[in-house]
Amino acid sequence: MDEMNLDDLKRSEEQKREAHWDPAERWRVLQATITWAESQATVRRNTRQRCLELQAAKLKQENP
Amino acid sequence: MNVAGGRGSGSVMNVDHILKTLNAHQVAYLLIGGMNFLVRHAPLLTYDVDVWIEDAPENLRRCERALGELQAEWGASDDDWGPVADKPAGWLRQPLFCLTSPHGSIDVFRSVKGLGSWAASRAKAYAGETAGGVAFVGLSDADMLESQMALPEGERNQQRIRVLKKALRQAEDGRDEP
Repeated sequence: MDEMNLDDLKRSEEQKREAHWDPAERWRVLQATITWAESQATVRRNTRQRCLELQAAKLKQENP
Repeated sequence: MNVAGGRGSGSVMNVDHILKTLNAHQVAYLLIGGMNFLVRHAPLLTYDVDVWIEDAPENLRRCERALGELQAEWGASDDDWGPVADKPAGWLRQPLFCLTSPHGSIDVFRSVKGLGSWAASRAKAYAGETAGGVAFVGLSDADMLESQMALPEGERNQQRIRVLKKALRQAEDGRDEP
C-alpha cells in the first residue's frame, strides 16, 4: 500500500469510528482521558505549584 | 489474562489501563502520536492512544487478544462493526485501525509513514512510566520528528515540531559538553 493510500485509509477509518461512538459513552471517555492527562507530569495544571507559576506569568503579562 | 480496571474511573485510569493491558499481553508496541508527546514533553489536546506494533504474526495475535480484553470495537465496514473479541483470529490485517473502547479511542498502526522498520525505531525508543506508574515504551524524539515531517505540510503540528527540535538540540548540546 503506497503513502497516499495510507492517508486515505486513516481518514476513512477515523470517519467510520466517529459514526460508531455512542455520544454519551464518548463524553464519559473524553472526561476520563482529560483526567488522566491532567495527572501526567508534563501537564499538572491543578497543583499549588503550577497555579502559582501560572499566576506569576499572568501577573507579569498584566504588569510588565 | 485479565487486567483489573473497568470502565472509566476504576482503580486504573483509562490510558493506563490500555497500556497495562498491552503490557500484560506482551504486545511489542511503541507509544506514538499525541499521547507519547504529552507524557514526554508538554500538554497537548489529544484523545487517542496511538500504538505502532511490531508486524510479526505472533505479536499480531497478542495484540488481538489485548484489544479483545479492552472491549475494543472495530469493523471492516459499518455493517461489520462490533466487539473485536467476537472476530475470528487474524482480523488485524490492514495497515492501520481506528477502534473504540470503553477506555478511549485506540489507533493501531502496523507501519508508520516516514519511519523505516519497527525494530530500528524500537532500538532508539525510550522507556517511560505514566504518573500512575504504568511502564511503556515510547517513540524517540528523533522518530517523532521524522513522522511529523512525513505528514502533508498542512497536517503537521508546528508546536510539536518546535518542541521536538528544541529537545533534540538540547540533547545534542548536552552530549557536546565535556
